Amino acid sequence: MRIVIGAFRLYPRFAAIGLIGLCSLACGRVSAGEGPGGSGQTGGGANAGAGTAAGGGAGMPTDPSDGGGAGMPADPIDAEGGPKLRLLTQSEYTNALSDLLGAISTPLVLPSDTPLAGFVSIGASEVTVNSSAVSLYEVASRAATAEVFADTARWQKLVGCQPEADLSDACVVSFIQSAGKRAYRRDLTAVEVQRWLQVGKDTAQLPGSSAAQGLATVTSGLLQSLYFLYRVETSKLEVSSGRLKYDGPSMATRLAFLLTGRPPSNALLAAAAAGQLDTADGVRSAAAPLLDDPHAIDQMGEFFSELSQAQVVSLVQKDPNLFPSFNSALQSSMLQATQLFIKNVVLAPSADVRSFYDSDQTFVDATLAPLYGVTPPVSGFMQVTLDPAQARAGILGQAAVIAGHSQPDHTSPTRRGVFILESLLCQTPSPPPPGVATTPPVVDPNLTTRQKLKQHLADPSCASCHAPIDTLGFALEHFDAIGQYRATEGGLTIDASGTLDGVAFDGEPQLGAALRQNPRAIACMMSNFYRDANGRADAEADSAQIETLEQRLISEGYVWRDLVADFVVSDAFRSAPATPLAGGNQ
Amino acid sequence: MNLLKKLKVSRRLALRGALGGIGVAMWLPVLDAMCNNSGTAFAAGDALPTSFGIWFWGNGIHPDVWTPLDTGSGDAWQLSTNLQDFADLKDAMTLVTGLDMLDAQFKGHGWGVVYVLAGGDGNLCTVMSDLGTNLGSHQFETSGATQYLPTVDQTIADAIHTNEPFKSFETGMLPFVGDVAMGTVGNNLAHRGPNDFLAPKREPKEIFDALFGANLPSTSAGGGTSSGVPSDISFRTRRSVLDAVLQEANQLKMTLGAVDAQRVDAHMQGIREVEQRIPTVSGGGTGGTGGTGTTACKTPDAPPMTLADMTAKSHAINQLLVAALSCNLTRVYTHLWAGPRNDGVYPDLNIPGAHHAYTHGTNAQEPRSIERYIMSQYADLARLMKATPMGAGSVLDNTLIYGVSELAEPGSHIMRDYHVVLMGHGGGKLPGNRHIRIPGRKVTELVLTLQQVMGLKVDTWGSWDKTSKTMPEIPT
Repeated sequence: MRIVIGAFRLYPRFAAIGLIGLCSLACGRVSAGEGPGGSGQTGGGANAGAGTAAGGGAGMPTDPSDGGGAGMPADPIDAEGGPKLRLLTQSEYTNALSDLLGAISTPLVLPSDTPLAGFVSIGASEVTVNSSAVSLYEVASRAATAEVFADTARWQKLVGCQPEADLSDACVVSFIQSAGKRAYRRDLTAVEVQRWLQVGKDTAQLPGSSAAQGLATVTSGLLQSLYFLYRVETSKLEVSSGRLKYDGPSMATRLAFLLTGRPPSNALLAAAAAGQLDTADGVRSAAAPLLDDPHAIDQMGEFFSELSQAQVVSLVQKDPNLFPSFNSALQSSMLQATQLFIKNVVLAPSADVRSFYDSDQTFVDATLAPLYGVTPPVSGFMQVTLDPAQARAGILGQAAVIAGHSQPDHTSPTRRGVFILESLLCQTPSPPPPGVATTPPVVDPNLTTRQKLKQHLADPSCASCHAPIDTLGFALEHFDAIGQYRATEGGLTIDASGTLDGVAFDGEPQLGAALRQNPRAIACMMSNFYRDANGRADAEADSAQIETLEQRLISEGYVWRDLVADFVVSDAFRSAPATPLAGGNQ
Repeated sequence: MNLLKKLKVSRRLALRGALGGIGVAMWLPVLDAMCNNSGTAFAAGDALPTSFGIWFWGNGIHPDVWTPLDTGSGDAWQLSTNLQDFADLKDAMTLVTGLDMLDAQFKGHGWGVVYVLAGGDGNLCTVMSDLGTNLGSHQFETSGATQYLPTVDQTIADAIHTNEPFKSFETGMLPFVGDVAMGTVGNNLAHRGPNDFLAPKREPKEIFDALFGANLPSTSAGGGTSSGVPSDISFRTRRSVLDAVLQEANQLKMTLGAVDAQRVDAHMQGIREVEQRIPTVSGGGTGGTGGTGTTACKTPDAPPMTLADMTAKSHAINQLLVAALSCNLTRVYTHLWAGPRNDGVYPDLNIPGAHHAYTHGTNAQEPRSIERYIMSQYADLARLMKATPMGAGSVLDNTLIYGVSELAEPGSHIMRDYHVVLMGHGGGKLPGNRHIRIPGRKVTELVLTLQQVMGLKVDTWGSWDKTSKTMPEIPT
């Protein structure tokens, strides 16, 4: 249990990045640029610790029970920002599983990913596996191995040799070593090999059992090992920089999962063992083929997809009387279209990543095309240029994003504004102050949404907080609750004008153009990338790294792939701060 | 708590003792042979085991259709509009109204859910005075929201669990819907600590498989039999694998800092709990979980793959939950109908919009209708319990359900006048058929009382509104 009752500083916090729950018409305050405050106290480092594994040479961890001093706990270093156990996400698990066993057709139920601070990678560093998750992992591992070992040709191909019935031969040892290396992303120690060998032998020798059953049991065990389920990243304090530098095998794992969503190949692990990932140049050459891997674009796209909260569209409901077309097929098309937009427009070769904000390109299929007022493709998805008459551009013009940030029956400038402020500008609005009633007064139905909100904002204490939120949200008022363009709101003229940091806009495309030029927006994108890639919230100790990233992005001409290539060789990815990360409680 | 894990199952009827300074009563499966002739107690004279449940629904209540006009016992009070579906269950209801949280001012869904389930988040600073400047510590209604303290179901499970296959069992109905993130509290009720939650199962088939054993794959190589009932081989191999994984986890833990080592500890505890569910002998009709129980305990039929509507699905889940209790597969259960601030929709009611949105809109009837429907499903669970024998009485006689929402009146988020719907007689400790209205008293006092009813030797509860006051009005 991660409970220290009485200690206030329990946890790394995600100040300034959580999405504050504002009721749509609630009053709130915006603490623009306000750092996370706090009145708790630092718990004397009681909960901090370095995740630094001592260990033998790269790729050859030493089992504590092997004897010798290696493997003993490292001295605690007050480094909450340091290495953490990162649980494999669902997709990482599935990829690692098929890396070991080949494709599995049995449906597997895995513990849900937990997005924290906007990203499942951060949740993976924070969540705890308990009995319900253990049970799911057990059942999944047994189902996957059962599928493989039910087919003699299949398991013999996997094992690579024909074992004795009692698993007493070298074939079994070599299988445990090779399968273990795929599963643990490092070589197994002699003790570990012996332990699994014993499990296999014990199983094979049970009455009615078989060699196949013994091997299946071992394989399912490897898949339940914490060394499989977690990315165990290890590091050492580098005196020259004062930072915790990841060792070779950890870098291999970090690189492979970040760039391809998959475990490192044996070749990459070999390079790590040879020390090639200890230098920036070595990391750069190891990263190059991974960046060309066909999965790399999906990984980069996943960041932007999470950033834009596109997946929310599959969770929302709409009033079926008002929006009869909004069904699961349309929701699915919306989500896919946004993912295609990200991969093929924002991340197109040599594309300027700022097209994320203001591109006039998008994707439609036959289901989605009517909503955008474009000619449907004959089949599948097609890239189209948006109709300028339907003022729509960039990510904020994507139906998935708009529908995901609307009420079931009407638009919500407040929800949309909070999303823009929080996710695209990294500015956290405060929740409504104490004592405020959030039930809206009855409003005149013959008014636009904006006019209604202005009625609500007549109270100065509301207006001071809502103005920055709602102004951004008003820019999207030409899109209804499912993201459909509307020239007027029930015949009433829509006012979609406003300003962002002094730059005037009228309508969503102009807001997109303003975001493109806004330094806060670029800084926010880099902060989010840094968080997602490292699987943790950033804090003061990270700010210099993030600023460097911003400079790199500019110097790389805003080409995202080039930025990622620079990032993986930088200290921001190869090491972590060793000093306590300043969070909310100073 | 870890001591409990090491205790082997014995056939003594009940073992009472002090573990770690906390007096606990530990129970074994209810076999008829263990009961006295009348079925009201164990042969040795101890009471039948009671179970504890939480039934949670999001978005609060509207007092105008919830608060009975009168208070008292028996015929002195009548059910309110939104509790009409409990008409045949009124004798088992203890309705407690008028309770407050903290200063009874505006807080919100996120504050409410940590309060009613865990007694607060341990850091009073975050809710007092200036909410805006204290967000750095614990956040509510954000993607970082979580329970910082164990929810009370887990506190009770730690104290009363002995050898039931599931220390606690979690079910749910509606997944979290809404564009405002609620962190881990949106989709999960039971928490053992921050981001350490027990995810509810929401599909009847999944619940059935977990409880009654068909989740274990069976192939010739995998150790099962063609009937889907795992064989002795699979029990033994599962145990040896989990033992090996535990040994490795110990090795890993030694290399980690404090925070990650705690995560590994929790993971290891989870492995031990799963290991405890593996039967020590070949499985019979009860499948892989080895459940045993009263004569009413029988493995239910597998639920159909598709269910007609929300009500059918809810009923299927309720049936499985009652089967689990009658088979003594668990003594602590939670059902998350819908999480706090959930924007779930109710097509069965022909209501087009979303629940949370209605509570802030001008539609008067819709949220009230949704609340009544939710209560009808809570009543369905209680009705099934009442119809299921346990000893000389029913499952409902031997359970206590804490039915609660994170809010009272949802439009204003004022944390005043909570309505808590307790169901069950708690093994004879709650007379039922009462409406107790005690304005100004705190929810923490009630939750402390419930823990004592469950036999826990605790005398304070809550980090907000920490209290040593109990509500003697509740138990007999």
